[in-house]
Amino acid sequence: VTESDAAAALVTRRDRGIPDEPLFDELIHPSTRLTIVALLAASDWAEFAVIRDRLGLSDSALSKQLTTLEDADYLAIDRHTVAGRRRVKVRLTPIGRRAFRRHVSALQTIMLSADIGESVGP
Amino acid sequence: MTHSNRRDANQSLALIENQREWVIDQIDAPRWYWGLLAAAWVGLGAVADVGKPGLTATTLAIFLSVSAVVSRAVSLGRQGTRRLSARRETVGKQGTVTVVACLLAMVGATIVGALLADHDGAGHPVTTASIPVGVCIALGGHHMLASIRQRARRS
Repeated sequence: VTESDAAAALVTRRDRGIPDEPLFDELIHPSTRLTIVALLAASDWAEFAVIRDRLGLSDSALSKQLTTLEDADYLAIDRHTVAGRRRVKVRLTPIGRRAFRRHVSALQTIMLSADIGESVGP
Repeated sequence: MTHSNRRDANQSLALIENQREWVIDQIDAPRWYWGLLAAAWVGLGAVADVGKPGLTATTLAIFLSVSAVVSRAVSLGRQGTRRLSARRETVGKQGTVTVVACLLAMVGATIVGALLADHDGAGHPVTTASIPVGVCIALGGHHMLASIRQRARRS
């Protein structure tokens, strides 16, 4: 399956409203990275400083987490200058957005399985 | 399925929802934005009273263009600095519907008010009608956004 075939299949699934299959993502799941990805999933983009202040991390600690996600192609970092001030914008890539949706779906599946398990009983 | 798995999943889902709600809370505009919009609305009414359709149409086009650009940043942020852009899906369709409904209500109130003022022989009927609508924008804009945020949180 070529990359374009896979992309076309993804678009078709979305058009049909078929949800992405659940996939627990170990890269996203740690709470700091999950917070970053969840915040970005609700946004088109956010500035580095916004994420840093929200998480209460140092610049270097946040950079490390962002680099991990960027290396996985989950997010993109745009650096630019506005009125002489350096701004860094962070946004999720389509790959990152899909990984997040699948992770959320996996978490919901865990909850659902637990509920069914409880109702059936030992 | 262990309890710790379930607890972990539950905490993660709560954390995700918490971030969504936080982003929704950032959707706001500073007070000056509503004051400026109100003043522009009254100004538009004053231009309409001049009675030159070409000038009115041009001013209206400029007003709508500028409003569209600025209102795109209804997420200007409370301090007026745009540091985050909320996703359209996060706000939901109801947010757009609320904004359009408010805009139509403002236009309707101004037209009806202008017709009544004109009937009463007011010298500047559109300006007269646009002043109370402008006051509503200045005082009510913040509440409209609060309503959009509340609906988005529930969606």
